[in-house]
Amino acid sequence: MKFRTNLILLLFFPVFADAQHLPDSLRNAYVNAPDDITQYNIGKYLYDYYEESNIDSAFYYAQQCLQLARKNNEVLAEAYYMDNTAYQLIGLGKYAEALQYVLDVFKIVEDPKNERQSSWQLFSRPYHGSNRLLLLAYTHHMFAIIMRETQNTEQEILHYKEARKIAIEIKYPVRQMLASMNLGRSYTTVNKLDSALLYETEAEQMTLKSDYKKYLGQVYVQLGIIHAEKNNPSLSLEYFHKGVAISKEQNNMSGLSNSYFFLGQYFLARGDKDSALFYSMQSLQTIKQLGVVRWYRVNLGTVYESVYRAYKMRNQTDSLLKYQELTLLVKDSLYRSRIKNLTAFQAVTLNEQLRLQNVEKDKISYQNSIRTRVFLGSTGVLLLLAFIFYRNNRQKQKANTRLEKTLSELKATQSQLIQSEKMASLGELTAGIAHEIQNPLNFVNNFSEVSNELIDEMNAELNKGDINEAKAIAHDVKQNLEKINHHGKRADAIVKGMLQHSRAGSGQKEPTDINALCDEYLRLAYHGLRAKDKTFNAKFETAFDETIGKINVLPQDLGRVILNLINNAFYAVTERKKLQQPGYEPAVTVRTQKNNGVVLITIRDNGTGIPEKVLDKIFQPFFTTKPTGLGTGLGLSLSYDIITKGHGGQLQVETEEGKFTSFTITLPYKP
Amino acid sequence: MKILVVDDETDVQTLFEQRFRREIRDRQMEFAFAFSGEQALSYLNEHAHEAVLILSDINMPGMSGLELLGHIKQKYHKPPPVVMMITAYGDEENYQSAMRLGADDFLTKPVEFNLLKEKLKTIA
Repeated sequence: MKFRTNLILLLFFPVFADAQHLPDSLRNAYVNAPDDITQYNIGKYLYDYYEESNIDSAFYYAQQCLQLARKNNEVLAEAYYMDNTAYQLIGLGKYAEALQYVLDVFKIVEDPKNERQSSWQLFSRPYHGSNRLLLLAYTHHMFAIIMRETQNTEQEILHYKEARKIAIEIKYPVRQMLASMNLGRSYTTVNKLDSALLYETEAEQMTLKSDYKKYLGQVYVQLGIIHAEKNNPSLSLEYFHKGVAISKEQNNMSGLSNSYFFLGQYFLARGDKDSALFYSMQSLQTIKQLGVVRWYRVNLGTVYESVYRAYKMRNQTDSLLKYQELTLLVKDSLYRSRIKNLTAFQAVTLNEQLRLQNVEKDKISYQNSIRTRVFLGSTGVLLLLAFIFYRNNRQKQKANTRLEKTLSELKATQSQLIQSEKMASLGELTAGIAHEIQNPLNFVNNFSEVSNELIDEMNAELNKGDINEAKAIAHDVKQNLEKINHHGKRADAIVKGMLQHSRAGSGQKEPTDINALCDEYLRLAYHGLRAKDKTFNAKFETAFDETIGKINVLPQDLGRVILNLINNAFYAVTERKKLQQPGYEPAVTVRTQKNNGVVLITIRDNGTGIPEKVLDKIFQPFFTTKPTGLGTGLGLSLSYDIITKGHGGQLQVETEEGKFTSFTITLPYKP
Repeated sequence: MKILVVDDETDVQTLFEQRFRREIRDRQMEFAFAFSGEQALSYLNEHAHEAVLILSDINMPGMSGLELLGHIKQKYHKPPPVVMMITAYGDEENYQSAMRLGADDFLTKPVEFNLLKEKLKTIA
């Protein structure tokens, strides 16, 4: 039976290895397979073929193989395809589902009873040792990839190392090579370049010796990145080119899109306009073949951005605008889905934590019942009891360790969510920014056109000899040029502000004009909401203390807080307006004030106010009163941290339900 | 002909004064400016029946151009003056609301001044 399957595969192999496209006949063979094991083997081949070339097909065949294995009670084969399903789910950005699969596989492969629960082939290299342990290594590897994509580098490295250790113990070099390959990337992330180079070189050497070269492209890309970081550009370039060649040969679209992407980055960094555009476009074409991948490092959003930057360098305005828009659009949608997926991921890790807590509780009540019996029973039982306590204690310690682990994972997820929140708020700003730039641009166009007409008139007056009239016109032209300059600067400031908002922040305090900052974000928030909701309207007023001058703050972070508070204020007045109370006029006021060594920024709205019962929760992470999908629940907690921890200030709230809310930021101020 | 321009961007005044330089000089047109819906209403109260044409932005803080339009068409003048709405959001919804409230015309930013001049001449 097995012989026949292999024969089928051998027959087809040369055809599609050349053609890059799988002939329909193999898919037909899959559909018409005479029995489950043949179908599984063809499905397995199809999965391997699509694993790195098309995410939707790969996911489909992983699921198919999983079902076939489950139906035939091939436990390890089922577990293997649960891992593969998880891998494709990670690529689709569905971390929660992937984590659930991987946790389930851990339960299967950690149980020695399952040692011989499969006769079906698992990995593409035949292996005659313990498939269960090999699968355990594979599952650690998968867990590490989930940790990588959710930015939990510490856990990521830990689990790759575990996978590598097992692979060495059970003598399965391919597994060791893949772990080392990814460790190279992890250590690059934490900027330990020597360790990164060591692991990646090991992966390179092992791959070159083996006939399994599917991931050699990725190894070369990583080596290219490491050498670029180590200031070795010529070697880096060579590796990227090698990555392209081998990825093509291996039909590894993932590796190919990565190679092209980093070639693009390489030339972008060096200002080589033509090559930058060429490789960014190649990367774009390749990634489109892969399907909608949400890998953190190279995805449609980062690739569009690369194309956009290349056009920007070439000053091709039309293409630049097209790709800028695509970048914003795709990134925005990716960030939105990323927040959703990370929140779901957080829920799974939280469930795991709760489950462990329940185990703990059960144990405590169990101990209590035993204590009662001791009280009643004889001293002989005491001995036995001591033993039970000892064992319970050990179990408790184990549970504690797992709890701590889960907690650290939760913390990492949270920091990732915070980054996502920053990006989401940038997305919300986009519409406001577009409108804000449009106004000054209209003025620039109008004033330059009218000045042109004025010059013609001035010449006509000069020909007539009317010097006074010509002078009057010249005065107007000069005034117009000042206006053009003023509005040009206004647009410039908006773009700079936008760039600042998206930057991670230098972490350095800079002398900042607080009034200008408040004014800028007030206008952006207003127009952003206005563009999203045409019916939205509210009065906004500013009362600025002009004596404040510049004070030392983290401008991006403080801007984010002000934006968040203003957005909340506008939201509250909109909600109250929906109640249609007669005579209600929505109004938001931003006031600044210098006062005895502190600067106060007050954002007040006459909206719905905050009910007393939730008032003590509003600064907690993930608390939100907005309907699902409208708020991350991180805005205020993030704001609170920025003001108290980042600036040593205070964030206070005053509110009356149904009447008003007023947030006051107090910043210490050294003249 | 007296025209009241309503827009929260103050530079609109300079722009109109220059764009209609000749018309103003030849006293074909006279302009007044208001920088919010509220200001526009108080101007109209004080100068009843003076302005025959009102050009108003829609998107302004406080009283929006649409609210202003409602006030003018319902409460203030008989016969009401001609009102043209100007907006950066040239969407269907705004257009429909403006028309329902009785706007006489609807222009999208950036304003095409030659087109506007033609329209004003047909009214005058």
